[in-house]
Amino acid sequence: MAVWYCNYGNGTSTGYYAVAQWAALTSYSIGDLRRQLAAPSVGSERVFRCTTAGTSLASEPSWNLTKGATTTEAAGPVWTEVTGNSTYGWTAPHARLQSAASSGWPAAGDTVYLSNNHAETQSAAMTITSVGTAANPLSIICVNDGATPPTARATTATVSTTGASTITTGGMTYCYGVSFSAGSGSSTASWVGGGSWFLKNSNITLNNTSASSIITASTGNAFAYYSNVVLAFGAVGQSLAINSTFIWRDTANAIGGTVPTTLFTGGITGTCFISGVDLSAAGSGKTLFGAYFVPQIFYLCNCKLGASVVISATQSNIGAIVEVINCDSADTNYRYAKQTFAGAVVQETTIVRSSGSSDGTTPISYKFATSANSKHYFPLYGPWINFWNDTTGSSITVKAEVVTDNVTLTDAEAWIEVEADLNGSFPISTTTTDQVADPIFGTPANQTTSAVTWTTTGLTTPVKQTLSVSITPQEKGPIRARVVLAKPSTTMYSDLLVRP
Amino acid sequence: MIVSSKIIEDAPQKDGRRWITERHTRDDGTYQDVTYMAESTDAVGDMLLIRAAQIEAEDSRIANLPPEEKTYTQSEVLAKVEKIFGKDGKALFAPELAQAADAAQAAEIE
Repeated sequence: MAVWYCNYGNGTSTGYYAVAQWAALTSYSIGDLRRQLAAPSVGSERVFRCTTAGTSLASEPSWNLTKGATTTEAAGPVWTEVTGNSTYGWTAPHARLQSAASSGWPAAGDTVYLSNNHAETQSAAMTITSVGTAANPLSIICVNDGATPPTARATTATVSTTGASTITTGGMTYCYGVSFSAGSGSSTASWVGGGSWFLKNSNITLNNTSASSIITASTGNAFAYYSNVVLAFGAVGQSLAINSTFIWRDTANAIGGTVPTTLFTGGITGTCFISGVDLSAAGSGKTLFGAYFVPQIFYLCNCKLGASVVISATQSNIGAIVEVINCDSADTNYRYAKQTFAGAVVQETTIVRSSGSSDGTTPISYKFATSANSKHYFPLYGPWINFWNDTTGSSITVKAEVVTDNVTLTDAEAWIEVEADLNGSFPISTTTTDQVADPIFGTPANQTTSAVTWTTTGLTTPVKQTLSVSITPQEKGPIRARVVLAKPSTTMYSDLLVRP
Repeated sequence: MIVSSKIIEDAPQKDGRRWITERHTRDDGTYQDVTYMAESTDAVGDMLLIRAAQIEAEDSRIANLPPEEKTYTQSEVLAKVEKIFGKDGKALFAPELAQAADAAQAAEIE
């Protein structure tokens, strides 16, 4: 796999611009490197190597810009295009990343070394369509340009646009140590993450104040994976959107600049996994996940949140799911939130079962609050609760204690579901539930009244019940269970201790 | 337009924080609930007013979007499809009705 060099430098005298310009009526020797005299159009910057000595003509030749092509001055020197070629390293670099990464120079699987002094900018829209493929991604690595070939990574390369100039990516690419910045002033300029880019130790900034600008992390059939990538915004009306799969991991101070009122909004469809990301800049008055009118699924695990932030807006359409596991602004390890079309589940530490579930210090239950949309075929599901089972061939009982405020739940309205290996062969589970057998024509029965003790602060008429099923596992192994609430516009609290 | 904003739930938790649920009601009777975990020292009443202004601004922004940039709920999409193609969808198959549907759609976008 070949390597290529790219260094815009300061745009005037370093990097590519340190290459001497071609001059008229000058004697050139084999090996001399020159760039164009007349300013080339964006993306046409080239370096040429003298491969036949001679004296240049009075007028600059019409350069052949194709990789490796020659340009002949009549009875004078012959020039060969060598831009970015590893043989000449930092002495003949590409000026622009979009050129260094695109078809015509590297091949799929190649590496582009981007100088730590690369400070590229342009006033037109930028499209970086790399030649990488899923099997052979292109690698763009910011490196210390003190050595050829480089021996150390760096994180100081910058690629920016000004004005109303969006940055669009394409192709399968691994990109390390680059800060991208879109636009300036009040013009709308966005980031459109096409292709599949793995960004590592990089940043994306919307350097403009237009509320219409947006970071679309992944679009089309793309997959975007950001690790230690800070996303910075220029106005409260800007936001982050996904249109396909987006993974964001391991980022401190992950939201830079002006924190959007709603971080995630817009988008078409997709799935988003976020873990180890510090989102605490979005605090009071901010919302992490807006209301989605399309099927989008967001999982947020082990992240730091801002105090008093709204995790999710009410989800008003089937298919939109926000689930937040162990994310908090305080030093806890039990915070949970789930928002769906059918309602919301959150952790609760006041209304809890005595001697019930706990993290060892703080008693915990789950609070279910269904929307008007909860139905037996689209209910509000609690999180799966997993446990290990060592019993085989004999019955065990899996149950959950629940409490409501003066609502006696039937087996058509609330139940427990248990997934376990009941066949003794393949690891295919069977779901066992105490839901009414026929939710259409069956006659619901009240779930069993319970005598366990709850702290019921704020409940006027606590109604305690037990959801319970018996199963006979055929093999040792994991079993999981969850509580389900189908009754619309209802609040219920559930203990987490479900194992026998 | 938001005509009423109130806190419909204030549930203290063991660590002193509180689950707050706000209800912001619009002049058309629809409402938006917002739930968050407030710090014990938060001025939740002030937050209520700030949120009402945010929701009103967002409603206004969405209302002023050009049709091609709007997102729609499923029922809104169905209503538009029915408006353009008829409830039985026959305009999809009859050329003269399809032309009328195109014109209706163009007018919708304009």
